[in-house]
Amino acid sequence: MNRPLVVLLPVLGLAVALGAQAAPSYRMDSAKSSLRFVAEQTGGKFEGSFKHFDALIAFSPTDLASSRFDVTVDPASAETQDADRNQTIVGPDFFDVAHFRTAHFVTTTFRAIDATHFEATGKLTLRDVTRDVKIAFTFSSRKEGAGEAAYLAGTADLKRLEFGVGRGDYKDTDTVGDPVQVKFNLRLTPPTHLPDKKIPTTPSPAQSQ
Amino acid sequence: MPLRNSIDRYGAAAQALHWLIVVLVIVQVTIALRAAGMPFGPGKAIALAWHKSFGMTILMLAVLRLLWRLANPVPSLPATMKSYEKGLAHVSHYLLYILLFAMPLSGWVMSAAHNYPVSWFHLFTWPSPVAPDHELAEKMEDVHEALAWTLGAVVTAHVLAALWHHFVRKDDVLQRMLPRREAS
Repeated sequence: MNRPLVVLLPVLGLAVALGAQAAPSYRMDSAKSSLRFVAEQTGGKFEGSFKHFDALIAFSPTDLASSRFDVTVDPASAETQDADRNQTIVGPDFFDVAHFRTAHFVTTTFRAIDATHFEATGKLTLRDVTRDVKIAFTFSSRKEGAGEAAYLAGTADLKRLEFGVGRGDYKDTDTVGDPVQVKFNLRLTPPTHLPDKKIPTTPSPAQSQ
Repeated sequence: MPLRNSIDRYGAAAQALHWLIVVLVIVQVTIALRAAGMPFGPGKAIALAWHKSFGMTILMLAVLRLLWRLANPVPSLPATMKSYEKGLAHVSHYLLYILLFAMPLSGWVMSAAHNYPVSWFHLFTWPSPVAPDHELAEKMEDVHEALAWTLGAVVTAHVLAALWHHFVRKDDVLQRMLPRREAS
């Protein structure tokens, strides 16, 4: 049972009833957004990225209560610039994309550090494991031409073994380090400024835990 | 044994660098040949991590050795050698120096092009000299391998030449790279 959400529900209902403005929604500009990760291999760091992912962002620095990130990642799109390693990462020992098609992150709470720096806690589901993950990010919006664009950039520090990523001999952290840093850099636009695009809405498996 | 080279012998520093690099090159070849037959996986990654750490060690030792050589004239070759023999000796020594640099450098570029990090015994990560590039990675694999065979050939000639000096010419060319035995 997700307690914060239950507590929030009446508040949200009241806000909607009063016609209060919720945090504005954005669509991700895929061409100008990146989701990267820094991992450790035999003691050295290397960077990779996910080519396919999407984020539904509702965010207002002044209305954190109604802010929400919902991010879906296609783990099969992991790109590490090396065919052997790509194959290994999507295979059964790591993401096992044959069984786990998507990775999903949805926020539960937000906290402001200052006017542009924030912290969010959310549920990250990788493979069949869901855990709380903290992300630190900056948010800024500005006029761009006729419209408006917002930029969301930040990091999350994960431990791959907590999600069962890397099985068998790959559990050895001398070969593949446990810490993985995720780095995201998103360009967001209000929905009306983008041509119609189907936004996938995946039900969050996190709720079933 | 003095640290510096003398007119007729290599000093302790030059000898230590020479023989340390000999040992490391043998270790490198052993690891490389074993890793070549391994499937992609953690075992190969660990073997290659050692290979990279030792390789970067050789590169650092090669830098030291070159600097030491530049600051320290090497003992001259025996006057009994013909000029073309001296020429051959010089060419092979130049080649060995070039290969001591080219081997690790090509491996370093190959790893970077593969987006594989080069760590030094898990202590720190060497910076990437090039951006990830699949084509370059494949090319550097060929270069690294070709250089390895070249090194094998030049080392063979080097060893045979040293033995020829010792057993056929009966001069002191081999001995001056060896620690001196009881007052010789």
